[in-house]
Amino acid sequence: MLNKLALSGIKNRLRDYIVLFSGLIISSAIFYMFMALATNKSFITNNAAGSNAKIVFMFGAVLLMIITFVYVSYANSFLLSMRKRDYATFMMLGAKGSKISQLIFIETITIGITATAVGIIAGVGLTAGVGNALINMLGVSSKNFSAFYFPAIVDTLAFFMIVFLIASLVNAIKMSKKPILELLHSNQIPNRNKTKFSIQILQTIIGIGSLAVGYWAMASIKDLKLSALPIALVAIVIGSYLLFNAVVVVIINLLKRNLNFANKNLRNFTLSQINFRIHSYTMILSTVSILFALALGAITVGMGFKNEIPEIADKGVTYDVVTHSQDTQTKKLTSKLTGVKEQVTYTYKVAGNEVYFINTEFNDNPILYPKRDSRGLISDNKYEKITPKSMSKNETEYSYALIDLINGVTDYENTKINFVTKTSFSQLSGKPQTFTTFKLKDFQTNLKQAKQIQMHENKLFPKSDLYGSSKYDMYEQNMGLLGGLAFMGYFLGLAFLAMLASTLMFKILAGADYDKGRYRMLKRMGVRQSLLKNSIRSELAVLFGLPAALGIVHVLFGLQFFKILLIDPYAGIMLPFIAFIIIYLIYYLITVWLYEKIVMND
Amino acid sequence: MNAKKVVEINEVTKTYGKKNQKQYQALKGVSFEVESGEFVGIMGASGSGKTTLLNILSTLDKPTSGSVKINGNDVTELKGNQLADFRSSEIGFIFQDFNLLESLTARENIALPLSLQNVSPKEIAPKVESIAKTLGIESILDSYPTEVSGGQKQRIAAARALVHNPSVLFGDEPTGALDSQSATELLDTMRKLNEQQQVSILLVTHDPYSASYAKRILFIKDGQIGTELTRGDKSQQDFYQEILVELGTFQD
Ligand SMILES: Nc1ncnc2c1ncn2[C@@H]1O[C@H](COP(=O)(O)OP(=O)(O)O)[C@@H](O)[C@H]1O
Ligand SMILES: [Mg+2]
Repeated sequence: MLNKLALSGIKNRLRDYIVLFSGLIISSAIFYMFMALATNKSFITNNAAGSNAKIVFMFGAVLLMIITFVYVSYANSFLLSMRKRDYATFMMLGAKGSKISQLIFIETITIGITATAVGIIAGVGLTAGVGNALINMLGVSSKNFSAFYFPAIVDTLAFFMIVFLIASLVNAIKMSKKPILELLHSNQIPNRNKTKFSIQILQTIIGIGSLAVGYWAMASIKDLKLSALPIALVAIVIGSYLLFNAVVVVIINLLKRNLNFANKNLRNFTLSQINFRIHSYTMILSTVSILFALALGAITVGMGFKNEIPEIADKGVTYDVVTHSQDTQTKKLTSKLTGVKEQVTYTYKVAGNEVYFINTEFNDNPILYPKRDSRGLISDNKYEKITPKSMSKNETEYSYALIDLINGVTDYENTKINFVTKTSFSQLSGKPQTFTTFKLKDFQTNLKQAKQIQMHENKLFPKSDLYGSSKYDMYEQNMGLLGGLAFMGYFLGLAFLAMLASTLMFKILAGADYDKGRYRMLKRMGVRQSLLKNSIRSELAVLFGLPAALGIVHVLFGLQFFKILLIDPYAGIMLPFIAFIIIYLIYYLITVWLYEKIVMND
Repeated sequence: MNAKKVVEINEVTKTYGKKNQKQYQALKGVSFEVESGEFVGIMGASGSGKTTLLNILSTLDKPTSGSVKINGNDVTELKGNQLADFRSSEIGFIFQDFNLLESLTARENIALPLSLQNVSPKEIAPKVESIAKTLGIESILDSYPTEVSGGQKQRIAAARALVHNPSVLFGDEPTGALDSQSATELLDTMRKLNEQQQVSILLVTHDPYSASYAKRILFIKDGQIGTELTRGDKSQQDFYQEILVELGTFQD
């Protein structure tokens, strides 16, 4: 009997369930996709991204788990809010508390399992599409990658089962503790704001204060080290919460007090609607602002990493390509390089611990020795010239730099560099060897050629002989770490965005049924349709806009944090910001559309 | 008698349900008039078509056929913004379920129709105060609807319906959700408004006691107007008895 009632309850609110369901499906699909990529051994070990990426992915997975947990909790309280009245009615009809708890438990778990199962199927499809697109974008090879990956299915199922188990228990306990009357009228709590003005001012000050502390902590990552992260997180969470709790309410009340502003059209109603909501929305708005910041931050940083891969490689190594004792194959390969600005060949001989160069070669084309900044990157094409004369200026460093370029010397400390005339050089015993340096206009466009040259060099000379890393080696290593970070940034950004926007959507649409009466009433009173729509749009715009605005501020300060990893975290932030805002705007428009459909149709 | 007519309806029918579907005729040719300053009651059992009639009169719904004039304007022709504007300027309603906006205080609720017409805040304040005084709710103006009693809510709703001086006040069972004490108070207030301020009132009810406050009563049954009773010089008590007798014969 009760089961029948429960089912009919679902039928009555099919639309809300569809919203809830699709949200859960999206989150489990995203989770699966991430796990499929992060834990797929054949993918990770078989590509250049390699082992560095694995650590990075695991870190991302932990973040994703946290965010998914928060999201599922919201979805569940939405579910509970939908069923509250039904459950209260059952209780009035005489159903026992334990029976109700059991019902809630079964219902939550059923919804959880179904959504997760559908989500995994969707996730496989998503992985095949979006996953591959992202992989291609990063230029990582993915021969062994398949969208269907069994361990990821197990992980996703297990994780969601645990989350839903916790959620169902919480739901069941929550319901059994509430008095029936409160459940029946929980939507109609009076909204008078009883907080004193002075307390609100105090909250505002503390709120802004903790935000300042949080932002400071992120900017001071160098001094605070790892403790910057928890300090920033806690301070920003508290700050966001207080800001929404106090500041927005104060502003709205000031606006309402300005009768010339408020007593126009529906403004008073709109302001009150916002005010009415802000109280129950404080939690979710601060959560959304932080999720928004995390998502936008992840995408911005991801793009930053992606953009900086060539730059970091570029600034890490002086010469784009260096070859040793060219054979015909090397010559063939290097002839394919495009945009060669400079190509110089140097001759040398190795005898014991002595290395001999020809001084005229160095006088004509000195080897460049880069000036590096604190992160070891070459600062703005600043080079010192290594010539026979300048050698004494910085003998050890210069000789290390030269040994890096040659083949066959492993003992950096005891090797001595000598410059001799061409005639003396020819009289020296030992086989003359050469190395050739190339400077290119654009390393990125020569990636393929650089790779082939590198592979050929590796074949000619066993790895142990060539100590200095080539630009291509550097590029590939960065690809592993930074490419992984970039990939994760995009991924988490999209996941967070999808979840935060649907969390907000849930919350707003959950209240729509209740608002329906209000709009019907206003229509009856003779309020023009256009005014009603205006009111709805402004109200939702404020609810979407406030956390977005605060989120953007969070990101702008939060990027300070990445100064330790990125050359310039603020470079090129316009693109991710604009892209992100457009997607967020689409969510807003969908919510407006759904909301208007619910409250306006009569 | 050449008094102004605030309501004139002629041969109004209303059929629910689309063509090809199950249809139900809720009104079967209703005609009557209400003159300015009158207090008219429309009585009928549940399901007789009262709400249907009132929704059509108050322009919330359109008749299937027939004409409806409010204050001389044919409202069946109005659409969109014109209709909304007409509603907000010419008509006031009170419904059984209060219909107050809980997010606004009583004062803000009452001021809303004036805000909609962009009346300046300077003019709004005295108008709200004055109507609140008439209805005896000055002390609760700054309370929210959830903080006052049912009777008070209905007075706030009445104040909101009247603050912009509509041509006519429609009430659909406004006492339906009230206890008898609050109901009597509200009805007394409505009578006072009618007698002292010449507010035209059309009240729809199934309750004989509420109906006895009207000066003229139209009986509706199965979507048709039957008998009409006029109070004239009778006491309210006598009129009430007459209604009961009429109901007895009318229902059979
Ligand atoms: N929207 C509607 N669709 C179909 N039938 C309706 C609708 N509204 C009312 N009715 C029917 O019209 C008749 C009159 O209803 P109503 O005017 O609400 O009566 P009253 O207010 O006198 O109780 C009833 O039989 C009712 O079932
Ligand atoms: Mg009715």
